[in-house]
Amino acid sequence: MSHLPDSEASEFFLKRSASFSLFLWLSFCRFVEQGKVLSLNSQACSDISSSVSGTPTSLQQWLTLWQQQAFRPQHLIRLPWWLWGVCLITGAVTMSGVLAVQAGGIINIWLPLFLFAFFPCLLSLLTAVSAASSPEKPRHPPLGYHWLAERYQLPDFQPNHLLLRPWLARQLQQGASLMVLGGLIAFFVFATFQEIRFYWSSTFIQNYETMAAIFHWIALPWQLWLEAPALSVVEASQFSVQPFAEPGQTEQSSELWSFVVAAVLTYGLLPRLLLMALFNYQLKSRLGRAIQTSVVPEQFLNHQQHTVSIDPLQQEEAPEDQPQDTMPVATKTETEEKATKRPDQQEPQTETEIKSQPRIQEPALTGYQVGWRLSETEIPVRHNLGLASWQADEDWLNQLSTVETEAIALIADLWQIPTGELADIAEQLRDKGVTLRLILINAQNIAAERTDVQLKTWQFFADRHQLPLEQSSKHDLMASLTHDTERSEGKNG
Amino acid sequence: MNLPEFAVVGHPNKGKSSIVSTLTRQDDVSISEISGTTTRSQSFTCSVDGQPLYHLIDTPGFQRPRQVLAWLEQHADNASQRAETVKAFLAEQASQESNRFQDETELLTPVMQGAGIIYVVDGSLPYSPEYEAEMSVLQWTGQPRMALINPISGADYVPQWQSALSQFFSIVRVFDPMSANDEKKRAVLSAFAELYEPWRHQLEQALQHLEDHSNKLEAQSAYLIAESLGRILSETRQIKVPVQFTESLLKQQLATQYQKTLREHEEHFRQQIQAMYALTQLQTDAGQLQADFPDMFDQSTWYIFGLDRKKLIALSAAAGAASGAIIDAGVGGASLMTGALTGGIVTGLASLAATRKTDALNIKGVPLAGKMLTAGPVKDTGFAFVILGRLLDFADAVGSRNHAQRQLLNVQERGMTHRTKLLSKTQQVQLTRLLLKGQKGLSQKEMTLLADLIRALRLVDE
Repeated sequence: MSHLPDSEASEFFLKRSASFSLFLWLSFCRFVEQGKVLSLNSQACSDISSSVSGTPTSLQQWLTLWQQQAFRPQHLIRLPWWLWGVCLITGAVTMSGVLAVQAGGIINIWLPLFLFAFFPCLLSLLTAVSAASSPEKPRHPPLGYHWLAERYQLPDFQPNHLLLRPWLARQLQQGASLMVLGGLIAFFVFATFQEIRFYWSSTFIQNYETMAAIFHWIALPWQLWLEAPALSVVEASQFSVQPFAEPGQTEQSSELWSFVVAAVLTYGLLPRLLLMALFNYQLKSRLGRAIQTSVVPEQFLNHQQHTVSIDPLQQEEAPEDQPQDTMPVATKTETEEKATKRPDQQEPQTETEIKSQPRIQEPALTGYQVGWRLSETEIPVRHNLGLASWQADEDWLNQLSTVETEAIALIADLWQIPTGELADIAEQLRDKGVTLRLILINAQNIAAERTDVQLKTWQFFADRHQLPLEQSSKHDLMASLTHDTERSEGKNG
Repeated sequence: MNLPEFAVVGHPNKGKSSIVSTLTRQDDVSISEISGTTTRSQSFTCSVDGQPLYHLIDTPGFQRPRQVLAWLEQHADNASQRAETVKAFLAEQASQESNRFQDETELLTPVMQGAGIIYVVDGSLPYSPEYEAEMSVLQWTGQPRMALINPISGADYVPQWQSALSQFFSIVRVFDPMSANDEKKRAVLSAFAELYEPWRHQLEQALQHLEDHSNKLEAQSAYLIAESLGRILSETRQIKVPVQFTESLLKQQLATQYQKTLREHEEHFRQQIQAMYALTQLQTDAGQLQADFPDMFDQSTWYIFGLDRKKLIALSAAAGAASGAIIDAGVGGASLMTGALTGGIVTGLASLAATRKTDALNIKGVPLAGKMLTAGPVKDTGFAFVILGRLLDFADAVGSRNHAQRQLLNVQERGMTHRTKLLSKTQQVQLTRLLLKGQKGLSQKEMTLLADLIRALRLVDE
């Protein structure tokens, strides 16, 4: 058998009455289904959390916060109060009908016993049998479920049928108990203002001793507190005896009232109260099980504790009204048009935009070639930046002759990640009036699927820092560099 | 007591955000494939049952480590002043209007406020000396630190990195946030516990909480599968036939409605599973589920999820025989096992007939104040196994998905034939009996038993 861990959630929801617990839970389920989020302001959290951050630190605290913020008394379903009044009055009216005889008249004892003791007892037994024989089949919703579902907007799924069945059954028992109670109240009111005398009669039983034995059996449950009607009382209350009864005998027949009241209490009211307790227990145990197996508390926590990530590309919204600086540009490409703005004035690009804009050109190698963190020594660049100390790079930049190097091709490995240091070097070179181009080579020969991502990264960097971006294979670059060297050597020679 | 807090730092685009996402179980950590887009640090908390266990801070990558190191070296006279010098660097940057070292400030600030350091590198690219400036700066902070090698697209250079990183970090581990299973995540968290003695106890407790939580999720998801299965199998739908309408037209309409309801049940199950495993990114697109999954009523795919015909008939017959045997036992064996025999033959034949002609819908008319058409429940055992297979496959795919993954959820169809091998013969018959009974609705006890069997069928980490 699977053992679900003890649930903190069950503890929270089940500490109140069964009805309250049920609707607290259903209200919670509805809250989670609607995807609402609790307010975590300091005032809201200060009462329940002792954590430094002020946010709840346990499920109990989260649930308490939910109860404070989202649970309203109207979420508790209570059947209308007048319904209970109707039950009470129905019982009272029925009993009044039974007792409404002329003063001094006599009443057949079987009538109140049947209506307020035996018939309710039979119904209670049937209810108990049906509750025991098919306790948890979830196929059909209980009677009244659709009315409740509509009224309370219950999410229509089967576990709620299971929970609402005992709750509805409990309500029915409560109504029935009130009817019996109403009958008892009416009985005492009548008994206060008029004499009520009961008789018995039977077609088959003429012997009052047999009837006394029957009364004795009926009175078995309460015999410890109240004796069964005595033989003389049974004899005096036989219908055929009544018209000829002597004064003492009629008093004896009125003594049967205590027997009737005890029977109504024992057979009419007590089973209803026991059933109410049973359905309460059934509701609590089913609710406990439902909470324990439910994924709703987990969903609730996941939703409430979800940290919304900062969207990095959305952070960098640039103000639109800033003036545009002009920059020396080599060719009029889209990249360079964007590059007429300074980095902090760039229009932000969305990731989708970057993904859909591969604007990398074929390189035209002329002028001075400088490497950026190139690990391949066979690429004959004049200088390889980024690997030694920052001071060493700065020294090189300071001693760079701008006459000799009015255009520089900055060659980088595609697998490198462009960083702020590269941007700084680019900026310093541009400050010296050098026209820069970035040339990417794929020197690592690593998995092809990442090439596209790396290209986007470089494109993003180039756009941000106004650098024309070109790409070349290592082979082509080597050939161009060799040809360039030979040409410059020939020119010199 | 403050919770353990770690700043995940490194070169840009080495999978820092992915590591934060996986280890905090939050799939909303922004992961960009474009480098240099994260410019602010952000703290994410790993919580279980509402209880925060530890914080991980996602930081921007180093942009100017050599310049920072140069600044630090200029301002510190000796090794004892290193941490103070880093603080002085941060103070100076804070006082300046334009902060060129914004990324370094963002990543070093939480570290100097007491966070441990997790340095992340890419094991699929070679080591190069440019990383030494970053590692040196981290060394200067004096904070407890470890390194994680993230083999983003291969582990070719892992040994190279291990030997380089061990010069700067006392703990070096390989961790792939995309494919790490629970065991690997726990191994990394154990390494965090080793990092700094005052946090050891809290992190060990966190590990225990996470393990308990993982077991709880497993039990709850098995119960959710059992519940959804019961709901789908016992679903019925009715429609009244007014005189003026033709019955065949309504039959078609009823069949469509019935199938729609079953699909809705399945979709509801998927949403619940996703929400339970905190895969909110999948959930936000729930309007159109991002699962690449064949339709429930596409019978051409049933062979993938369900059992093969032979196995299905054998199991159905065994389940029928088991039911008949209960009757035999009830009459004290006086029936000479005819109950078991009859049950076995009848159920086996019914199953055989069902596999020959799969009829997903059982529509029948009931003469009751006119005519009532009823669709469902589907009495085909094969269909029950198909549904169970689908629910299990989806739950396994979601359960084993790491929060760093952003691509379309790929549901691997494992099929029930493979899964049932995980059960004993008795359990297989028990499962078949429960599925047969499922059309009538299962009691709480049967539901629990079904959940237990389903739990044994899960293949989350396979």
